[in-house]
Amino acid sequence: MSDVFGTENSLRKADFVADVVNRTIHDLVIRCTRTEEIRDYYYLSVIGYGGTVGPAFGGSLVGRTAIPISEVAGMPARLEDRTKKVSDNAGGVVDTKIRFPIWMDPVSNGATPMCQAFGIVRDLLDQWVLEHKNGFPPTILHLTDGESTDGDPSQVGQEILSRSANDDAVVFFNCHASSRHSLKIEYPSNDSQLPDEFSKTLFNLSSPLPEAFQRVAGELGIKTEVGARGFVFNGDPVSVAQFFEIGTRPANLR
Amino acid sequence: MTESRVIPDLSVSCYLAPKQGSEARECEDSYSFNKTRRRFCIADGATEGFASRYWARLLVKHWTQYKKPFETLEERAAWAKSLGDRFDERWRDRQLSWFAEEKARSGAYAAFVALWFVEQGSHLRWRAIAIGDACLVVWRQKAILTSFPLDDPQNFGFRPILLPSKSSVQNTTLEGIEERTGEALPGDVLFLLTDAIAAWFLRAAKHAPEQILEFEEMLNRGIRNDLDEFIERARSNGSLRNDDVGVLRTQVAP
Repeated sequence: MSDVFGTENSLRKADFVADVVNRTIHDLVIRCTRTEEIRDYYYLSVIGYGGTVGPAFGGSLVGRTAIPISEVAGMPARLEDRTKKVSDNAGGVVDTKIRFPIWMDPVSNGATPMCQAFGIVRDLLDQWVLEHKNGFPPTILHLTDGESTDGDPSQVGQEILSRSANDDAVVFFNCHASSRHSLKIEYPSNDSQLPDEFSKTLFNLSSPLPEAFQRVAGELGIKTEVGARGFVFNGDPVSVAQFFEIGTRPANLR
Repeated sequence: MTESRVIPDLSVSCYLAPKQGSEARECEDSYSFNKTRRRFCIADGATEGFASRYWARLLVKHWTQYKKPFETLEERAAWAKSLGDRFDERWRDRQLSWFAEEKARSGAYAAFVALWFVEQGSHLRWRAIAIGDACLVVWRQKAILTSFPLDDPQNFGFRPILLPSKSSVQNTTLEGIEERTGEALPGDVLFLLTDAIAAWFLRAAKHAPEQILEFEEMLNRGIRNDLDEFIERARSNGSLRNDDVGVLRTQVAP
């Protein structure tokens, strides 16, 4: 995750990933905001893995999982001052100072203990489903920059895929981010173009893209075939950002 | 010699209900009427917006109090801008959380349909304008005479164009205002309906018109519990989408 990512030489992969995750959480919070209140439409867990494996929220949320979005909104690790271009209500735009929440900072470390991380996710799912039998099945977005360093994740990954709530299976999407400018493969419907066993393993652990997710992909200009899986291989910064957009936007509860 | 003119009287009944699972204070539909000026309107604040309930209320309240003809784009733009400014003013000096502040930057949106009557000899003529998917349905002799701007229940739910509170983006919407006019005969009933109940109404008119008669009878009697039970039944049997319900019924005296 310390590699340079994309075409901007100063951009470390870890910085980019932390930014995408913070923005994704930010957007989820905004979707749940009703004037000055937050509706708890979502509960969030973020698991990081590298040198350590476990909950990745910083600040007051350290160590916590399955957190109601209202609490997530109210407790970012800090608020950063940023500049954003907003309408001046007269046909132009002006730079406006905004407060942007940061929940987690970039971490880069060589190891990729994917099996251990999947095990934590599976246990979280089991607990969640036990407590919310009639709830909406959880969505799991997995982002990795390399192969598992603690064994084959297939079995524990299949255990995640097999979980369901209210008779619907969980949605498990996988995104592999690469710095090598290799050919990226987005949302394939079969594994014939995938280059190696690792990519095929992640493909097999990825849920088919439900219709609502396919619609969002289409809106982002991504064409998907029938049977497309929620899987990206050799993703660049654009595909990583889109992966989070596709994985979270369909749950827009109007 | 003076001509004797007896302009028919108008009777009004109305109903608002929040979506199932929400409280009355969360209902983002709003209506207003002024019988003296013969002005009636209903608005549906978009849940995704900021303070949409307030925006919907502002629109209906001020439209029914408005005294000018409301004919030209310039006049309509000035009216909408003054309300947009008033909306922004309400939040300007408030200390908001980061998420409310962010949401407030995008403002509120609402669907809106307004109805007024003008005298034409001893008759009344109705005029209406509409933005988005709130509808006017003219009901004559137990059948739909006009439904406007949508007349097919299949056409609801496709991201309608809504009236924004941000004045910088109001004009495009205002240019697309739809207008309609028609003769108001004695006994005609004109319903202003927000989207979910409008779609229900159009379906029921085709497949179960007795349901509309039952609903109308309840509106006439104005017994809140009966109406609530009717709506609950329609939601339970799947004929009515779970959304806020807003109805303003105006009848020209028979």
